Amino acid sequence: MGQSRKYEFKWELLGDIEKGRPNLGNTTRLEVYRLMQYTLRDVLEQRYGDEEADKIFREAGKLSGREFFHHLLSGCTGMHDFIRKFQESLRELGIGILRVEEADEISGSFILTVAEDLDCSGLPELNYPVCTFDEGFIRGILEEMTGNEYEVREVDCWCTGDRTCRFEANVRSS
Amino acid sequence: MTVGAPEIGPAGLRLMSAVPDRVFMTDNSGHDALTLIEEVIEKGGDIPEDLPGSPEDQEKLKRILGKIHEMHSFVSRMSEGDLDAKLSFRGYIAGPLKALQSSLRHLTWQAKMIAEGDLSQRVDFMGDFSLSFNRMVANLADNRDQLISRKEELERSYVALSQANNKLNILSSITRHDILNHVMVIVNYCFLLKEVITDPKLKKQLEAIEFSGKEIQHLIEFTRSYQDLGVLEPMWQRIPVIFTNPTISGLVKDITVQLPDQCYEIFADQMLVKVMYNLVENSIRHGGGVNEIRISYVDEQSLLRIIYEDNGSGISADEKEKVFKRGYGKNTGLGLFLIREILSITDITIKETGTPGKGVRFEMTVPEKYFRRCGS
Ligand SMILES: [Zn+2]
Repeated sequence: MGQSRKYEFKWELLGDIEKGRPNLGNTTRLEVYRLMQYTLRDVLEQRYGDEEADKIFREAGKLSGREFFHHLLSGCTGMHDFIRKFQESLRELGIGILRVEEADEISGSFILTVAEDLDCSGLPELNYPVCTFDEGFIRGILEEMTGNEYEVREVDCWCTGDRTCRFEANVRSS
Repeated sequence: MTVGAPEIGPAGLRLMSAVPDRVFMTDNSGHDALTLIEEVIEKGGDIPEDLPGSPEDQEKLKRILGKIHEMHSFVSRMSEGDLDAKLSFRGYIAGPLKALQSSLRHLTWQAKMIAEGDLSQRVDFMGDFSLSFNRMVANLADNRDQLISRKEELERSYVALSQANNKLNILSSITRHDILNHVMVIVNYCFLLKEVITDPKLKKQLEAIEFSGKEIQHLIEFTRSYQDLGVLEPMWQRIPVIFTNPTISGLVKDITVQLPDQCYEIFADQMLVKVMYNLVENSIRHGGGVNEIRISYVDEQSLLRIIYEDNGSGISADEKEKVFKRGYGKNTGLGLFLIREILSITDITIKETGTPGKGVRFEMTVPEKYFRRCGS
């Protein structure tokens, strides 16, 4: 990588929305978000293949999870506090309704569900889960929170006929 | 048969349209299959060996019936509280079933958090249930906060009371010291005067003064023992441990002490050691050659009796209650009275139920909340 990158992510890149959009405000229609996501995916897949495209999405998700944690979830006093804030922030930002099915503090394993997920809810049924960005996002957040390396897998998705996305997160055994 | 008879419903129609037409045209296997499906949905039962239709249809039918069975067991397990069942297929019916399971699993987790004392958790978007649940948790949190502040208030009062009590103790200790000094002067002068006075009438009066002086000394001594009562918080104690206290073990050197085998803890004032000390001292002083002391428990669930027995001369029937009066008997005077006071701090009662001539038998009755088995 060169010394200075053109798109290295910084939170500031999200801009001063209040100043920039005095009339339209800080929300947009979900279709727009999906339009961008699924066209980007299309191009990535054409250029690099579906596996590589998924990988890129997971990686981007992870980066966003890390940033999200540092800007919106830091300062949690413990696992319970973290889960509560995590739930709250996803709800308030309209990302999804996060619910915990299991949280094993000893092994670090989680089973989380996200209903009304930003990426996939309402999509046509496919035979495979599509929330690869979410997988990375959750991974990034959990890794920042716990300091452990995680593996996150979406086991159920809207797109596989389940009405809620379910993620299994386990600490990666080194 | 009539294909697409009204009672079959849309799912049945879809099923039929997925099966090649000729099956329905040439034999009754389509009808048999539908009957079978309906039967399994309504009555359950095993999948029969001989399924109707072509091998391909049989496979398909087997899968459908298998799914019905699987859903049945999935829902049954859920209704029994087992939320770990898995469905091997996805889709239209499986989706909402899994969503229901997911909600229940989430609620289970939330309830667990609450059980662990985390009252910050809330349930979102589950209709009326969320409202009730969240209200319940908020109420719990409120009540807990109130209890905590009540507890803090009580703790503050307790500290204030202890301080006041300490000051009173210091004051009474100084006063006691001063009184004893003056009484000593009276008693000493009486003693000296008795040597020089010969008039029997005066001598008698002098002896009365001396006697009163000594009584005052006893009373003041008694207030000294009494002052520590209830000063320290009561705590869980074990009687065998108390008997290892040097003041008691020194006292029972020549006595066989039989301690109980069962282990109990008794919640009592920290002067419980004085209770045991006084009982033993009482045996030695008044028992007339006591060389055996037995302590045993009688657990009556709602109360525990601690039995203290010796092999001395016992207490006569008319004295059984009197021995607990303040000032009863010589020397001790305060012994059994003080014991009763110490025990009463945690509602333990004591009475003497022995047979005169066969040793004493003190029965201490501990209420349910103030005793427990060791390790419980
Ligand atoms: Zn999904």
